[in-house]
Amino acid sequence: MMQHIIVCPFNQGLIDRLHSRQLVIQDNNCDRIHDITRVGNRQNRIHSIFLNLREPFGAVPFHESWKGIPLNISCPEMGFFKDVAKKLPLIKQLKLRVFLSSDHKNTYTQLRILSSLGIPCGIMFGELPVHWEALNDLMVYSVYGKAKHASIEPFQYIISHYRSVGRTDFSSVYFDNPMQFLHCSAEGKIALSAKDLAAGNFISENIDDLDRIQELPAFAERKNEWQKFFLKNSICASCPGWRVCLGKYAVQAETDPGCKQFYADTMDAADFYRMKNEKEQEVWR
Amino acid sequence: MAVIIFKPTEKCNSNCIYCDVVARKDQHVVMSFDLLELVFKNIDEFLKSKPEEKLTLIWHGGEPLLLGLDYFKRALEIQDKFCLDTKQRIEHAIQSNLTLINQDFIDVFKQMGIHQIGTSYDPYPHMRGPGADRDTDTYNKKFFEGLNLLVKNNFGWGFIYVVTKRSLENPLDVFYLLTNFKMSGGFMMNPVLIYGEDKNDIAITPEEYSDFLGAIFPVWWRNQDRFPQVDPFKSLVTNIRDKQKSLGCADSGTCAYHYAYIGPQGEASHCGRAGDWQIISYGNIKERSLIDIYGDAQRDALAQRNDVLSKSDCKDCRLWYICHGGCPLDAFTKHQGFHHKSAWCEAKKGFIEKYLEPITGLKAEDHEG
Repeated sequence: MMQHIIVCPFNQGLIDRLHSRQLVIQDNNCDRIHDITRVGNRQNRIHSIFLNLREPFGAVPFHESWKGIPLNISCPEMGFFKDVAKKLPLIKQLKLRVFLSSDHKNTYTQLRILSSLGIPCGIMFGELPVHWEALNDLMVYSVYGKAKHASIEPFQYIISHYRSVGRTDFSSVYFDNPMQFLHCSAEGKIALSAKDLAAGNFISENIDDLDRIQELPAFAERKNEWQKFFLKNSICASCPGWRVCLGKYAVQAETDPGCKQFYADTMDAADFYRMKNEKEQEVWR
Repeated sequence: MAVIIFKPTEKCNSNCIYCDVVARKDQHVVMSFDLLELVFKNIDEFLKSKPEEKLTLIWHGGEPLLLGLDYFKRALEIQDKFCLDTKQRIEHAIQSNLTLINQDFIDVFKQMGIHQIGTSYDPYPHMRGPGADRDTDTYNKKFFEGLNLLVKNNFGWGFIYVVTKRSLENPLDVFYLLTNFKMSGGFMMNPVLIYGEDKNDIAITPEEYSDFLGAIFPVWWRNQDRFPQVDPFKSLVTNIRDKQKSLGCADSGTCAYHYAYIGPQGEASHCGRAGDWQIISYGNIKERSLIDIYGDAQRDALAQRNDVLSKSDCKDCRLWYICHGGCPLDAFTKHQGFHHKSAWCEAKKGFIEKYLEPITGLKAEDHEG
């Protein structure tokens, strides 16, 4: 049985109750990175530190000592280019991915800039409607672009995990796929997603249940949640892009079906990527 | 290979809009155990008379799971008792709507050597389900529970989607929905077959069926990795491009001596469709042996059909080798005789000539010579 990666806040008491786990530790303070690393690696192993910051990416006080620490940083925007450019040599030595919010009007352009600078990055979907056309352009740049550039999520995840005859859940990019990640509150209550955690919708209130979560009916229910689109006869069920979207924008799709074209194009991009890789393997065989 | 469409009951817990059994048959009869014994005794005798032959018993209905768990256990006991020397040549298969399946059934099916189940699926409301209104919500909820159990037990499954007038509104929506539902393929889109009055206004013409397929085919053709086992596309392309003969019972031209139907009271017919439509009677297993049923003279008319059609309705048809005039039962519904081609030939021909050949560049050519 697969062991879940645990997503939890930086809480020493909680982390000490866990043993031999892979952790994604969430925090909002760069100054605590070393403490998090020390505590997180004491009897567990840090999969990643996820920092949710309020400052622009360019204003983050990157430090030499962060080298080798797996970091995911979410920022509202890129900030000034000159700030990023100044820190670029150091940033490129870090094990880092930066996420920018889709709610910021310049995010799509800023992600392209970061990618072109060689900084792995991704879009963090916010509360405002997604600008599908801009997102599609960004996806095309990310997958088809011939100039050297760093990966952009969730496109990279989709194209590298896509199987032509299966479902691909890119929530893993955001550590939010219950088949891979479980969310733990500071009190040790367990939820299947960040949304469930925020809503207090726990699958168990006992941290000792971590290893038997997969046996619980609620887990099986979540595993088969995709079926609700068919049971409810949702328009998402008949969408050509459903296999990689899995209805994440079902509400928005009712009024703005822009997601349909985007995810259908993303599947084509995934096929392109797969075929390209197969061809490259043939050359080297 | 002999195939028996075996219907110990034609009871059903659903009222599917396109089902002939629901519309035509007495749904209260269940085959008695005495009769079940007689069926297996006959199978034993039949297989002993043909030492090279194998026999597939397809449990069909109605909904065969309404027979209950004990019925299947008893069938296994009866088979063990009366087919001692031949049971290795008996293969079981089952067609179920999955709404009643549970772990106990699955365990018995495994004992019967069944590891995959055929079913049907229709996403649209009021097409399938119990009651006059066809309660799709209840039906589909149970259906998905059954499906999850199959997956948990590593059972294979495939389904048939029946193309009705309702499907014609947006063929691609239907296609994407079905392929999202069953990503590894394994389904067949068949036209609704109405014998008699179209009470529910769901019938489609061969041309409509052809155009329905034609609207979907370019997407399938471009993305065969995504939609691998969708029929009739896959089988047609296999036959035309790969020159591998892979024809279903309706198109093979060889159904005359392979199939039989046995109903709940022992009534025998040619196949499921013949039994449902009550077109051919081979008598009753209580009075005739399975050997006699398979040797019934009426089958000769079906066997002669290839000769007759190749000189009449289908003379010079270049698609003969993948069609053979279609299902003789379909032909009978229109002409009251078997020696005519099926009206659905036009659907196949239309689809191949209007869509498949122009889109793929393939050319259907007889490689039988």
